[in-house]
Amino acid sequence: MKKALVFLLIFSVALSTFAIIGAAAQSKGKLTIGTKDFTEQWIVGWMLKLLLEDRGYDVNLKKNLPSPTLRAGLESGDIDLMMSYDGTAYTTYLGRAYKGEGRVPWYAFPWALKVLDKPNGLTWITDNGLYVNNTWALCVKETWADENGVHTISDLADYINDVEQVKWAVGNEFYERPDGLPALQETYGFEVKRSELQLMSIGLTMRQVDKDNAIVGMIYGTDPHAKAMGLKILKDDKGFWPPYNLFPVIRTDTLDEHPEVREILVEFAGAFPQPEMLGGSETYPSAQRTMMELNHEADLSDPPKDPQEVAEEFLVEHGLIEG
Amino acid sequence: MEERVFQATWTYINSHWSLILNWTLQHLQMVAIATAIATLLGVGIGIYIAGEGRENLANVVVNMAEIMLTIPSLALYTMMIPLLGSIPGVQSIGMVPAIIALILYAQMPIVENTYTAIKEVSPAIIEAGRGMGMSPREILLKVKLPLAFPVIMAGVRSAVVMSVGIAALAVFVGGGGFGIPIFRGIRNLRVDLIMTGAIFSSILAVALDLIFGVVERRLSWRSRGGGE
Amino acid sequence: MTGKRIMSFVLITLMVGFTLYFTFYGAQGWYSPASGRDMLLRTWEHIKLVGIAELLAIGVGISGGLLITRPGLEFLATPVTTIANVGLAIPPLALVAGVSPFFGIGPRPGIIALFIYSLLPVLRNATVGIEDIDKSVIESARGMGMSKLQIFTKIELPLALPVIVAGIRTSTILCVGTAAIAALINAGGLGQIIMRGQSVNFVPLMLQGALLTAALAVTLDLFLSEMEHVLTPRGLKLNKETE
Repeated sequence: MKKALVFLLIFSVALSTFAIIGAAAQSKGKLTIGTKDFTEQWIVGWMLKLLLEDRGYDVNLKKNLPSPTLRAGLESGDIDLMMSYDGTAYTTYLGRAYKGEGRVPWYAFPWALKVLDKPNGLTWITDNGLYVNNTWALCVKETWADENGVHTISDLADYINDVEQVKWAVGNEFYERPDGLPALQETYGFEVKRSELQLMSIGLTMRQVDKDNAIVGMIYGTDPHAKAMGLKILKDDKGFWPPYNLFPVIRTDTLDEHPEVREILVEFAGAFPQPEMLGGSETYPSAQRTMMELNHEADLSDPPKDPQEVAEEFLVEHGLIEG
Repeated sequence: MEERVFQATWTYINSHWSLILNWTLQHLQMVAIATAIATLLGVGIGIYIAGEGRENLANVVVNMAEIMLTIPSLALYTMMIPLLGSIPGVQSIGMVPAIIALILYAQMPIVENTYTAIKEVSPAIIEAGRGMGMSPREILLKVKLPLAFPVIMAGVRSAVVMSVGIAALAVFVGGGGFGIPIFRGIRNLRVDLIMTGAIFSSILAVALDLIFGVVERRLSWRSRGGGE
Repeated sequence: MTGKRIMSFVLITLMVGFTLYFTFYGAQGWYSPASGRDMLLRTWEHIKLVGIAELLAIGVGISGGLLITRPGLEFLATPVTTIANVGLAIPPLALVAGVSPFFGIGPRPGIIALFIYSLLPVLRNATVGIEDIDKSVIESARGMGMSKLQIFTKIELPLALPVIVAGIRTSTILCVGTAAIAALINAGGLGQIIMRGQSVNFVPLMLQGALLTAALAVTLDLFLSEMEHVLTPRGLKLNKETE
């Protein structure tokens, strides 16, 4: 009978030892980087991790966080560093209304955020940026667009108002966010009937369009699937969306502790094509294309590469780390 | 896309064994920490409420445990996050909230089984122990617990299996494990990732279930053989 | 039993109450909770998902259980219960996710996943319930001159019914929970509300979905355990009371 008790003891001790060892191995990191829950974020997250590890830091990478959870973690100190989209931070994290209609220049956002996020204890490092403009976008099948002459969101609004309601497939986040569907409808003056609207995980939306289960789908600006599936991205002709460029955002106290991190982050962002400060066009095709190619390698090449591999290759190619 | 599911999955699995091992360890780590703590806690509570004169408390606790078990894990998990977030000092991202939620859920079957098992020990055996001059403490440690052990283990087993399933949802709070490939797969249209996560989390759960099943059977055989 | 009943009632009231509270007063800044209409629609979707999958599972499970306990097919009983038990260890998320590469997304693949999952407990309990009937009872019925059909409808089914209903209860509870997860593959239901809340970390929205799902599960559990109680033949109740 004692054997049974001994077993229980050994069982719990073994489990707790395992637990403690595991926990100890996890808490070594000096810097915690968080990423959102899609491929692009994984790739840039891995880039930062590999680069900072190369420069002697212990890095803990927390992947797959929903965007607001990540931001909350950054503010509370669970996360030290993230790559943040300026448009998202401006409209969603800080809750500022954006009715710029394309008139606010792209470089205004990082500057504004630098100031706005200072009281939150966060530092935006904007000397260089990843000008990938991973905006929300609406896509339709190319054939459908040509048949009905719908090439811009205004065209789509006219089509919905004058011809017929169409089925929509949009992500949950897109439906809820201040820079999402409800505000888009208001700007363009149309209304999607609730019965025509399907909400789902982002990623399934383009599949719905591809399989003809929906006409209009939500997609990201740097998503490589659009091209592969023959989907057309409708032009945001009223400039509803702000730019969504990526910048490193780090907790100010972490930066004070490790001031040399700033240089590393500036160097990293500089590996992507930078726009000219004045006269930059409204989109940044070359940086966006670079990012789309990286996403393509991670999700659509055959066989797909791991985000980690993609990140490593990029860093090696740009001489940031040695291969 | 559908025709290539198996081929793509196989290619992915074959070139990512170390990653899969990593996910397995993360998953196991969550399950292990959670069930270890839940076992200690659950058995403790179970023993406490099985004590003399605590029938009313026991009723409340056991019923509560039964009801809690019917609450869907996703729902409970979702309720847990804001609750944990409102406690100052508790990390709201990563393994910690994932594990706390797991502990709360996993101890229900353990409490229930511990209590039932101790209560079901035949009064005659307890009388015999008392007759031999055992103190209540000795009766608990030397008579009741050993006899109740197989049933307690059954509770631990279902806690472990449940935890494997629930830990897959830990990605919502930045935990690791097999939730990662599943969610990344759904998010980025990668069937190979979805299938890899689904297949290996199932294997993990079934394997643990079988292992604990064997342990349980061994123990019940032994305690029946040795306890009389 | 009464204790559990009271606690269930209290819990259901609390959960529905909070859901209503969030529905009407949950707005914070930009974010607003799901509207009452939306909640009703999603609840109805959820019930539909669970209902269809569960009815299919009950039909297939019980007839399957009856079939494999017939003389000549009995060798199937042990493997089937084992498979059902092992299958229940599979994480619901894995099942839901694993179905989608083959059947696509939407309510239909959702129902397929739910059906597979909820079939297992029904099938297992139907098999075990009939297998466990004391053989001497059937022998004596045969001695009394009952026909095979009569034995089946008057002896086997009533005696196995409580166990079968217990299986249906387990399966329904699992089904409600798994249906919430099926929202991931666009099956709709209350899980959709949870996912929406989670995507922007808006707590009232998350709780609206979670609390109502939980309330649904507890309600069904209460209802089915009452059924179990009512359906147990009076003679068996005394023995069952200890359980």
